[in-house]
Amino acid sequence: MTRLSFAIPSKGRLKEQSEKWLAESGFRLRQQGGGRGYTAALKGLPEIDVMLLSAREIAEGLISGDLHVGITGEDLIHDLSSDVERDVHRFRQLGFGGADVVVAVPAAWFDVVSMADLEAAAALFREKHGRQMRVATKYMNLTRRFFAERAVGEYRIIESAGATEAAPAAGSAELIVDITSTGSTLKANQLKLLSDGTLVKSEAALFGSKQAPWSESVHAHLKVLLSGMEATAAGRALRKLSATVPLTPNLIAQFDLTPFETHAALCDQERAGEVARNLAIALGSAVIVSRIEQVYQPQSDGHALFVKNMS
Amino acid sequence: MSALEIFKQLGAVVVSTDLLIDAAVPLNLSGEAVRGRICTFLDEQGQEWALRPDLTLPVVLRELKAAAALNEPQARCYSGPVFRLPVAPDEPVEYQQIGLERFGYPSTSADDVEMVQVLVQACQAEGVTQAALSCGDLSIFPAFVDALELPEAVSSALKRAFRQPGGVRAYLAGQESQTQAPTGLSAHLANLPEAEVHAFLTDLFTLTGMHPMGERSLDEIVERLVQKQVEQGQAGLTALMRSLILELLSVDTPLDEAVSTLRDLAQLANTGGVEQVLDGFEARVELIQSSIPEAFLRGARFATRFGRRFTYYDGFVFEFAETADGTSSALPFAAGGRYNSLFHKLSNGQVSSSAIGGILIPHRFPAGQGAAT
Repeated sequence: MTRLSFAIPSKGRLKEQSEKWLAESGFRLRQQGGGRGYTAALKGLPEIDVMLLSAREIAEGLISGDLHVGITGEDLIHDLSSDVERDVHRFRQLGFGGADVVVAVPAAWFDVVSMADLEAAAALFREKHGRQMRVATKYMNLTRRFFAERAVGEYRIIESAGATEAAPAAGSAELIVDITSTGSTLKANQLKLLSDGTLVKSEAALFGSKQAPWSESVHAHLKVLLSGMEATAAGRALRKLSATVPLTPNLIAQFDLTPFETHAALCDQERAGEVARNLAIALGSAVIVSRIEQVYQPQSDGHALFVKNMS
Repeated sequence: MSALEIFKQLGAVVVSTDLLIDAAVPLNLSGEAVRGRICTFLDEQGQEWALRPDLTLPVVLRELKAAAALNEPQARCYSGPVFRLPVAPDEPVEYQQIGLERFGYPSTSADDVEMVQVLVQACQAEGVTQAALSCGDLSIFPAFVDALELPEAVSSALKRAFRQPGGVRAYLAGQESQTQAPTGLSAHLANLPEAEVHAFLTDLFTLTGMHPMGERSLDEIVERLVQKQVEQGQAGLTALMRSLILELLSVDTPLDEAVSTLRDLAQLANTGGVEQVLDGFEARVELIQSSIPEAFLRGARFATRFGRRFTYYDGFVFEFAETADGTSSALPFAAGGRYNSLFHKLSNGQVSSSAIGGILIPHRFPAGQGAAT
C-alpha cells in the first residue's frame, strides 16, 4: 500500500473546524461531488486519500487499522478501544470539539452527590424494585470501566442511539452517561452532574493508527502532513522582531532571542510585546513585531515520536 | 474411563440444556462487568439473549423449571459447548466444558473436598497427571466484615464492593476522599427528622416542578438521606480496620500457611466472630492436604480475592492450572465452587438448595497430557 488514508469528520462544527485547521496547516481541502461528497483531496497532495466519515466511524477505522490517520474525539477513541496505547497514537489535540463525558442523574435525587452515593442508591433501588438501575449511554465501554473503578456494580447499560439526555424523563433509564460541553442540555432535562462523575475530558485530536499497515511511502506522506501541522503550530508560538539597525549578539543573549537575520530575531509569542519595547529602548530604533505563518524544520518531531511509539 | 463416566458413576444424570439463555440472568447476577465476556444479541422484540457462558446457569434454570422440589440430593452432569469472549489472545470463543453439579447435599467441608477429589479423578481419567491448585473462599471476607461490627451501610457496601474486582480498594479510596461535610441544601436536610425531609422535598418539588423521574420515588430519596444522616453520625472505619481489610484482601499464600495467616488476622481484629468460618476452612484445608494426590497439590495456594468473575459463587472456590513454578498464570483447565445462594436468587426466594459444581476445560489441558481417551 502506498497511499495514506486520512479521515475527517463529515458534518457539523467538527467538520468546519477540521477544514479550518487543515487550511491553517497549509492544506486546502477540495471535496469531491460538491458539499455532499464523502471523498476529498488535499490540494497538492494527490497521494493522500481523504475521507469524510462520522467521528465514530473514524475512531473505529483507526482502532481497526482501516485508516492511517484521522481527526476524531478522544471520547470515542477511549470508548471504542480496549487498549488505547496499543491501537492509536495521538499526535496532538486540536483545540476544538472540547467536551466532557459525564454521569448525570435526575436533579431531584438530593441524596446522590457522588459516585459512592450512586452506588448505595443503586443497591437500595435493586432491593426495592427487583431490578438494576438502567444507565442510558452510547459510551458502553467507558461506562463499564468507570463504574467498575468506582465499585458501582448494580446497574445495567441501555444502549442509546441519540437524545440520551431524554431517557430518564422518558422512563427508559434512571440515569445517563453522556457528553456535554456547557451542561445546559442536562440542566434543561432536569439532570445534574456528580462531584466525581467525569469519565473523560475530551477534545478533537489528530490520531494515527498503530494497527494500520505503514509502508515507507505512507510514512513519507504522513511526514508531509505532520510537517505542515507542526510548522503552523511553531509559527503560532513565535513572533518576528525586526529593527532598523543590526541586533548585537549581546542583545540577542540578553533577551534570549533566536537569531534570524542581521536586523531580526525570533521570540516567544507571550514575551514578544515586552521584549520589543525593551529592545526598542536599547537600540534606539523602532522594533516591528510580526506574525509568522509557518516555521518548517528539517525533521518532524511528531513523526519521530510516532515511529518510536510504534516500535 | 472418561470424565463424564466418572461423574455418571457417582450417580449423576446426564442432561442437555438450551444453548440460549435470557441475557438478564447472568447480567443480573454478575452485573455489566461480565458483559465483556458473554456473547449477547437482541431479537426483534428487543429481548436480549446470551449464548450460555457456562452450563451451571442453564442446569440450575432447568432444575427450577422441572419444579420437582429438591427434596433429596440430586446430581447432574454434562458435556457441551460454552461461549465466552476470550481474554487471552489464543483462546477460542466456543469451547467444551465437562461438568458435574450437585444439589441438596449437606454443605460441609467434606462435601467441598469431595468435589475437588472428583475433579482430580476426572482429570486423571482424561490423562492429566499433575496440576497446581489455587483456592479461595468467598465467605471469609464477609465474615470478617461482619465481625468488625461496622454500621450496616458500611458493611453491606464493603460486601457488595468485594464482589467486584478492585471494588474494595475503590470503595475505601472513595470513602477517604469524601470526608468534607455536606453544604447547601444537603447540609440543611442532614439535620431534619425524616417526616420533615419528606415534607420539605414534597414542597420543593411542587414549587419548582422538579420531580424524581421514573421509578425511583421520593420515598427512596428520603430513605437514603436519612441513612446518610445515620452514617455520618456513626464511627465508620478506623485506620486499624481499614488496614486489616486491605491486608485480608491481599492474602495470597501457600495453602499450608493460609490457616495461620487468617487466624493471625482474626486475632489482630480482636474478634471471635470469624472462628466458625475459620474452623470450617481449617478442616477443609486439612482434608485437601490429606486426600488430594501430591501431584495435584504442587504450589497449592490460597488467595482471598480468588474467584469472583461469575459472582454466583459464594463459598469455597478452586481451580487447577498447569504447574510451572508455582506462580503460574496459565488459564485453569479444571475449576469448581460452591453456590448455595443461586437457587434462592434465581427463583425469587421460592427455592433453596445447597449446590456445588465442578468443570473440566479439555482444550486447556497441558501439552503432553490429557490425551488418554
